[in-house]
Amino acid sequence: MRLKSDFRNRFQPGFSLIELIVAIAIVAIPLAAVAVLLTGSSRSWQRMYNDTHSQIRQDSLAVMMSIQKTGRQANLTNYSIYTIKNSRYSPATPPSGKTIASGQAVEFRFWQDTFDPDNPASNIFESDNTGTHYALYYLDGSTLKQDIGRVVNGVGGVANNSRQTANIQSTLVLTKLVNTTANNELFSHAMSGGQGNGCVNTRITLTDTNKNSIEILFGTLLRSAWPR
Amino acid sequence: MNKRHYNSITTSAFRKGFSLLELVLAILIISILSVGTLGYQYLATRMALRANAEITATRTARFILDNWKKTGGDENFDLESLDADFEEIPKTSQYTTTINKLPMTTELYWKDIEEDTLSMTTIRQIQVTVRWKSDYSTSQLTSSDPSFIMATYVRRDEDGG
Repeated sequence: MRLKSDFRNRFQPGFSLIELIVAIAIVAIPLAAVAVLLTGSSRSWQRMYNDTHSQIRQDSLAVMMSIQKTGRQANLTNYSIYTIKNSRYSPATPPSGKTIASGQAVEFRFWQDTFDPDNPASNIFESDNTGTHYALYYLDGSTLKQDIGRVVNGVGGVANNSRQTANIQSTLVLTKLVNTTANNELFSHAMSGGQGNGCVNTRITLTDTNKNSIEILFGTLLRSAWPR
Repeated sequence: MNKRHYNSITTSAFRKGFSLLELVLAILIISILSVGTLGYQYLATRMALRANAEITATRTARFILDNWKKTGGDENFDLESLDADFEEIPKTSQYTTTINKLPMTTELYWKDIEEDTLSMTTIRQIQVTVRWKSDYSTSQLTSSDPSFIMATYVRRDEDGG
């Protein structure tokens, strides 16, 4: 019996306690370094991933694409930038001694109807209309919206200093994350002789609930040669 | 067979598990692979930052060219007049600005490339260079920092569109 126990102790396979402690100490050093790297890298990766897929980034692209697409087909002879105060829309004018006018809304006119030879009003070569439709982009609190509607008897998105709703075909919410503290005057253009130069500049800062923000600045050149 | 010889044979025959050397080597290999993977992650993060900067620089360049085009490529075009937070660096054609938290320096350049005396038209190339710090800081820019160049052409007798 004693012989069997002695035999097991002497020939027990595996490490001694010292070997184990030394091994753990050696292993712990690179593992700790890797853990620190992994934590930091993972955090920055997560931050970048969240930023790339964030609502503010998606919204900023939607805002830019919508305004540039509509503005690019709009007529520069008939567009307006408005300031909005207590739901009252007033044409934006430059401050004294300046040439840049800015505001919270912009209205474009553009031609959307297809050519109809039986209806001269739809013929872009015969009509005096500057557009059959309008697009009104306006700030409502921290929400940027877009109205699309038909121009009827020359009346589009704004008349008598108020937003018109009779001929609206659709209203879209482009973003609800406009940071009006960072920038309240989203749209601007250079003016001379009471006319805008046809390049509408948009500057918007979007901020989400986690205080992440993105700022976009872009210009939109309106059409100078079509339809009239 | 004496006892010592018997012990040696039994130890070799019944030894199981890894030696300390094997264990350390395995850990080192795993560490190297982990650091390599992290390197890729770090690189991806850097590339995302760079992409973000390039997008901002591209939009800024296009913003400037759109507005410059509207003046018919005026050689006196002044970015400060746009009220978009551009500041001219004295005695240069360069401006500084910060958009989307990215400090940038922009430089304007123009050149008449074709003049038709019969139709009295001149084609002008207008170009903007946007430069930013490779480490995205606000320190002094150098020629080795990344830049983005965008150019377009305007007819001097027309503006915009």
